[in-house]
Formats: sequence, C-alpha cells, structure tokens
Amino acid sequence: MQNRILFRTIGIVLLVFLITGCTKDKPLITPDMTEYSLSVPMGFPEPEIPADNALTVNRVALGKKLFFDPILSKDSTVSCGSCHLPSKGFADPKQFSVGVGDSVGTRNAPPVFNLAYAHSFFWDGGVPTLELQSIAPIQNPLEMHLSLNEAVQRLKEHPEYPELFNHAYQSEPNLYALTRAIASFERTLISGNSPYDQYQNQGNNSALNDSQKRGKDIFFGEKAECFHCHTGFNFTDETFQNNGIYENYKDEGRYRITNQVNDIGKFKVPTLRNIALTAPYMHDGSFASLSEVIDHYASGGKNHPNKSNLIRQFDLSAQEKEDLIHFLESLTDQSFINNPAHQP
Amino acid sequence: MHKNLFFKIYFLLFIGILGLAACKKGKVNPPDPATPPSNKGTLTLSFRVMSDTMVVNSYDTLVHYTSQSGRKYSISLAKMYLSSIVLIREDSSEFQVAGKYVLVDALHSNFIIGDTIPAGKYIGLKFLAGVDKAGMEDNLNHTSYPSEHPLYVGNNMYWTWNTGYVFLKMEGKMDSSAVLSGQVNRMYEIHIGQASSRRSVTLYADFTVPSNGNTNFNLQADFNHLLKDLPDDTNWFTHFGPLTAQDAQIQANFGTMFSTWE
Repeated sequence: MQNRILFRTIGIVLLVFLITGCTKDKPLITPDMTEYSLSVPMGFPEPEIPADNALTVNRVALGKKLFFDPILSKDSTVSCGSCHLPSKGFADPKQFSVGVGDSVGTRNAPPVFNLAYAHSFFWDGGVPTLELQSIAPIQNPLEMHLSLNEAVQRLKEHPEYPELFNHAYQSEPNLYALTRAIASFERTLISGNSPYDQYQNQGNNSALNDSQKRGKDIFFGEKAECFHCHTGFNFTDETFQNNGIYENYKDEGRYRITNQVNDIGKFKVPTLRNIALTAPYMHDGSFASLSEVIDHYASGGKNHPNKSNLIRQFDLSAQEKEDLIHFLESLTDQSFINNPAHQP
Repeated sequence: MHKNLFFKIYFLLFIGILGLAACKKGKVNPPDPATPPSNKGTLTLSFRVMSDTMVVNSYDTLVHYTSQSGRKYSISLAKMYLSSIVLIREDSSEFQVAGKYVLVDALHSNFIIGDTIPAGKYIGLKFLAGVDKAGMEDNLNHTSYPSEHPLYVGNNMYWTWNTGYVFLKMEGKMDSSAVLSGQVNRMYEIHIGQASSRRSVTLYADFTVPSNGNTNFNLQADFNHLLKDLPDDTNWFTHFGPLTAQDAQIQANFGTMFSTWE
C-alpha cells in the first residue's frame, strides 16, 4: 500500500516535470485575447485593424498606460499625453509643444483621434502606419528624446510592464509590442458623436440650432469651398494641400518627404472634428482662432505656385461668418472628450 | 511482488528519461553553422573603412583626416547598409544571397555573408549600397525585427519621421568653415537615405568558396571619397531631404566609394 502511494507520488511528480519542464523558455502567461469592443459611430465605416495587431482589452490597456506614462521620455517628464491632451481633443493648446529639457518643437501637435482611419501620419505624411508613428516622438530630440533601446530596457526593468506586455503580446517588452500597444490604444480614440453627428446620422433634428444649420450650408456650399478638402465622415480627404498661408515656407512640409518641388508648402488636410478645442490652427499654429482661419481663407491666401486652386477670395457677411463658426463648434464631441476610457 | 516492483521502477525511470529527452528535443542535433552541408561554404566580408590614407578602426575624435580639398575632419561614426548581395561565377552566372542585409561599421571587420554559399570559383561581387526596395517597403515589419537583426529599428539607422532606413551615416567634427582654418571643431552629420540614393556596386576580384570552409572577400569603403568634389558652402548637416547639388554629389560618391583591398 505504502509502495503504491510512493510510486503514484513519484509518477505525478515526473508527470508534472514532463509537462512543465519543457516550457521553461516559453512565457509563463498565455495572453488574454479578449476582444476589445470598438464603438464605431453611426455613419462611420469599420476601421481596418492590422492582422497582426487585433484589438484586445489587454493591448488597449497597455497602450493607454504607455501613452500617458512619461517613462518613454529621456528625463521621464514627458508622455504622449503631455502634448495630446484629452480635454483639448488630444491636441496641444500651445503653438509648439514643449519636450524634454524645455526644448520646443517646430510644428503644432495634431489631434490623435480617428487615426484608425488615417493612411499617413504627421503633417507631412512621412509615416505610413500607426504602428510606426509612435517611435518618432519617442526618439525626436525636441520631444521625448529617448533611444528606442533605452525605452525597451526601461520597460523590461519596470515592476509592472513585463507582465502587462506578456498578458497583451505574450512577450517581454520589445519594439514590436511597444509600437503595437500604443497603436491599439490610439485606434480606440474614435470621435463621432457631436451635435452634427446627432443631427446628420442619428435623426435628431434639434441637435443643431438655426445658426449652426446655416453655417452647415455655408460649409458645404460652393462659396466657401470648405467641404472639398474637409470631406467625408472625418472631414478630411487625407490629401496634402498648400493653403497659401505663406509666400515662402520656412517649413516646406510634404516636400521634405517627396523631394518634389510641387509639394513645397503642402501639409496634410486635418480633420475638423473637435476643431473648436484644438486651437491654435495650421501646421505651425499660426492662427489663434477659427475667426482668423476663416479670414485667411476668405482673403484667398498668399500667392504660392503650389497653392490649392480651391483657395480663392470670397465674401462672408458677419452673420455668415458667425454661423460658420457655430457650425464648426457643432463638431465638438463632448462624449468623446469626457469619456473616462480616454483619460489618464 | 518483486517482479512488479522492478517493473514499476523501470517504468518510472523510462518516464523520467523520456521527460529529459523531450526537454532536450530542440537541442538534439542542432544545425552546426561551422559545418555547412556538403558543396556549400561560407563567405565572409572582410570589411574596412578607409579615410585619407588610414584605416578607420576607432571613433577617436582626436584622429584627424584630410579630405582631397584639404578639409580636416574626424570620424565618430561610420556605418552603412549593404543589401541584395550577388556573387558572380566564372561563367558570369550569378548566385543571389537571398534576404541578406549587412550593417557594416568601422569598428568591426568581419561580417558573414552566408554559410550556404555554393562552393566554387567566383570572379566578383555585386551589392546595393543601402537597403534594397524589399527591405525599405516592408514597413509593416520594421518594428518586428529582433535586436540582433541588421534591420532592427533600434540600431539607430532608421528615420522615424520619414519611414525608412538611413543607408549611410558619417559623423564627427570638421573644419567646416568656407575658408579653411584647420580647426576641427564643428560637428557634422552626413546621413544618406531614400530610394534615390541607393547605389548598385560591382567589384571584380577572384575568390573561391571552399566546400565546408570559409573564404573572405576584402571590401573597403573610402569615407574620404564620400567628401570628394563637395562645394565649400556644403551644408554639413545633411539628412537627405530635398535633393541639393551637394546631396547629388554625395549620392554619386556613395556609389563609387567601394573597392577591394589586398
């Protein structure tokens, strides 16, 4: 009897050894692949999610933690969220964002919502995927100024991140998972429930007041021509345009990427969603208010050989201008801005 | 009773041995890189960086070189990518070393091109100076490479603002004044990239890849040549954005800076 118990015990021990002994090089945790339920607003298409980066609850949570964690900056003072503030439509109210060591950037920080639908990133479109986008500000000396190797090393040595990476990507912290996690969080930042959306897509005729409705007609009319570039569900056609704010561009924009002379002074057409929150405007934040922006377009802009043909002088009455501004303000999505899931 | 006991002992020993063997499964008969299959050999790039008349094998900023126009400079970084490597046989047929990228730098001299190269006589080597189209356009995988891979994004040879690899980096200090002063005190950075900068290089030199053995191909890159015929008002912080006349000259020099050495 005693022998039987002894042999059974030894047998069980060996069996456990057999099962667990072979897994010593594998991660200890099987990632929880619980799907993240993306809330796609009415009138919006389903975004394309890369096959190798399916949205999961753990990946989004990890990405959010990384987005708001200054660990990814050289002196651990600046995070992605430092310059992409949720309350400001994930943009920066400063003309130029301030990075580590009080270094100052050269372009206005663009808002980072609805990026799940974007095909190029940054004002000049130099980066083709959301996964590759996040490593630029981490390395940029004027922003977070941290080498990618140092970033990964810090995460490996962190008391929490190794387990979070393991849960999300079944790996230790590395560039593959780091870039994909941040992209996952950013893909969840979808804004599409503004008063305009409620009016246009949700059958709420009272969501816009009369002034906003008149402004809507101006926006989508041939007089102001706004809708030609700021088109579609996200109010951008994703093209690069020279909108005539300078005769000589100190920052040559898209030209830096393509080396094509006809790209000088061209910048990516931004979304106008939450535009009332994302001042100042243009790639260099040179316009402080929507009123200034409308004045610029109404003036026809400065002469430049690459200026869009759509930018021509037009006249707006004071009432029309006010209506247009009110319409632009109707693109503010308070439910998005105040969503607890988007806060640090 | 005893028979039953021995049986149980043998059975448990068997399970134990099975367990040990199973755990070593991945390590049994591993491919030995030193013993390639028959009729295959190893080709190693024996690489050196030249500048002026010296071999650059350290990043000592106190060591000064002189360009052909008399401009003095030091080198604190000299790295570049080679890709699409092709070996030319005696009969002019070619063997392509598929998917091979080499990140060479002045501090190291040996880079294995391949350990399954068909044995035989060759008369030359072709490669692209820079990262080939496939490597550049595979941007979905750029952050997938492990840290040991030449294309690992963390190798600091990658433009994050304009997605793609930097083909060559030359950095240091220089007498960058238009009228030469002899003072090597201003930083310079020459970073070459973008598809238009990629250069095809062919070098002829006989070599034989032995079966189950190794041979070296002696390649040198002359960084002094990279500075050849540049104007006095050269922007010494060039990161190959808009292509200026000086950048076009650097591009041309990039394609002609290679030779073999004895």
